[in-house]
Amino acid sequence: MDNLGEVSQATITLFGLSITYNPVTFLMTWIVIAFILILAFSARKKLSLVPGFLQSIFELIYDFLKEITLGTLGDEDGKKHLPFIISLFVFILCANWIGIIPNLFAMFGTFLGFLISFFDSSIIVSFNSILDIKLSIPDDRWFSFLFDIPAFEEPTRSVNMDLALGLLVFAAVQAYGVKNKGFWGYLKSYYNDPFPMKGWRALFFFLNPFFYLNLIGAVANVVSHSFRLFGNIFGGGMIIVIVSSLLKFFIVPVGLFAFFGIFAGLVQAFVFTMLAVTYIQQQQ
Amino acid sequence: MMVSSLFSVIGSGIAMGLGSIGSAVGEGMIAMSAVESLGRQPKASAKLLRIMIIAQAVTETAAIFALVISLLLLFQAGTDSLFKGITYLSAGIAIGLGTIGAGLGAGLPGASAMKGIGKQPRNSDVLTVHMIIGQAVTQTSTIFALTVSLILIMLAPTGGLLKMAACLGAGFAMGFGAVGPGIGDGLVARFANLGVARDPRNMGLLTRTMIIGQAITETTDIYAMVVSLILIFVI
Amino acid sequence: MEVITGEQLIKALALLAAGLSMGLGAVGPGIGEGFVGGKACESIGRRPDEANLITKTMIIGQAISETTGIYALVVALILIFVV
Repeated sequence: MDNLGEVSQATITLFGLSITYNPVTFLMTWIVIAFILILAFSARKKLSLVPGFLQSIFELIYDFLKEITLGTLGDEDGKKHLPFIISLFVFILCANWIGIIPNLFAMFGTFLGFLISFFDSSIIVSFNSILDIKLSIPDDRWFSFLFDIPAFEEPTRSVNMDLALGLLVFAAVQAYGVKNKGFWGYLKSYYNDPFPMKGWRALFFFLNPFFYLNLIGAVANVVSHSFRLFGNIFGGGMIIVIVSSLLKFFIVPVGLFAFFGIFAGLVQAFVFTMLAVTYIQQQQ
Repeated sequence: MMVSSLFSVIGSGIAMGLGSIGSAVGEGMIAMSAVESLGRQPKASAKLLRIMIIAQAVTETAAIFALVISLLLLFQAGTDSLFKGITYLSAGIAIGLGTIGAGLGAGLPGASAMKGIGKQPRNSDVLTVHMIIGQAVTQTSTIFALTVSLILIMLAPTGGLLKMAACLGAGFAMGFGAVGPGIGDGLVARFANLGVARDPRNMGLLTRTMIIGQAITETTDIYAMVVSLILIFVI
Repeated sequence: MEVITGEQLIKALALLAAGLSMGLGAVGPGIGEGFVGGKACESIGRRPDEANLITKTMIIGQAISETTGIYALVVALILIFVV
């Protein structure tokens, strides 16, 4: 437990610059992308009027988000932004849920090992206290791979991923604002009432305290938008890791996975997407 | 007596003592509304009792988190050092103060659901589902407090004066920081429940607005968690 | 026992103060934003047709209620990294 706050690091040198990155997040992001692509292609292969299981899930997500996006942004703008919104939702949802699978494997493996230990004396269950139960399993058993699951974690647990997503939305929103209002109209939205800047006085925009307030507000939006996702996923993951290690992966409460993995992951994906929609709406 | 166990016993007391305030008041509010509704609709007593117990059980979650940390601190045995003692104390402060808000906050939607069932017992199923979603999201602030205090308990036992002050600061930041957003989340869920009780057809719309409102209310809580993680890991 | 200099003491107290500043600073905005969100839900319950307008106003209102929370965050970060 001493390496609690550490993240895995790797360095590559590119054009003389040494770049440090997190290989686990990197790998997991690609796994999520591959997962979504495989799902999408296999759902597309068997399109039918009466939807199958996979197709109905995608249609459910599409209908739900389409109703909200078109209702908030209006028909024309809504249709323009719908692909972005749906990709954001599907990616974050899969990224939040991808961590459940290895954890479930580990849980299932421990349970299985405990059951087998009644018949097989090579598995040693040491029961020191209620918080310290250990299962030791020899390597030559066929199920021993269930106990050596590497640290697969959700890519959204890394703050870099969340900040990148937040900045992506921020850039899209600002670009849309410039396109929609024109460059001057966009700048004007940063120094609003009660000190309207007109004519030559507009050159002294930096004396207007509301300019700085709005600037801080814009930065704080990005920070809160991305750290909300980070805090929830990181907090849930941390609790699962610590509680599991306290109980030595033995009595891992299933409710923890259900709540932190499935419920919190869904709610946070929805909140992130909805806030992106509202930020776009504010630039209209 | 070892220094660290002295501090961990104090922390354990703080965690359980402060941690039970919020849940106790919240459960009291739920029971109050249930009794009030019972006076209005005596026929629905079985339904009211069942949903009251569900609501109180969810409200209890915050106090149970405090109990878990309190027991962990009470039976803590490890490296003995002043620094470890300070981290135990900070963990107790974080979870103790941090559960007040969510306990109180989870009581508010429960109370309004009881009131709604008293007005219109037919809507009880829809209201129960909505109430549980609201209460579950309200627990987020306690979950952050639990995360920080578990990290503080598990921290490696090395550090000087700076690290000690940082850990104490992290405990205070997370503890106080979770109070306001917890109550605020409860307020959002309370009014959303009243809206559902008035017209259950609006449930989808109201659930959506409630979750967005609660997520934004949580922002300051997230700032508090970021500051305490910086204090723990960066300093 | 190592000797504690005045500078170290100031730094240590600044870290403690950062925690207190963020913690206490988060209480007010939390409750205030809760009121905004709650009342927005109440009005949507009354007039579901105006849901988009109400949600937009709610988000702007909450963003402004949060300003003091952001000040607390800025002060805490200054206390941690600058002092």
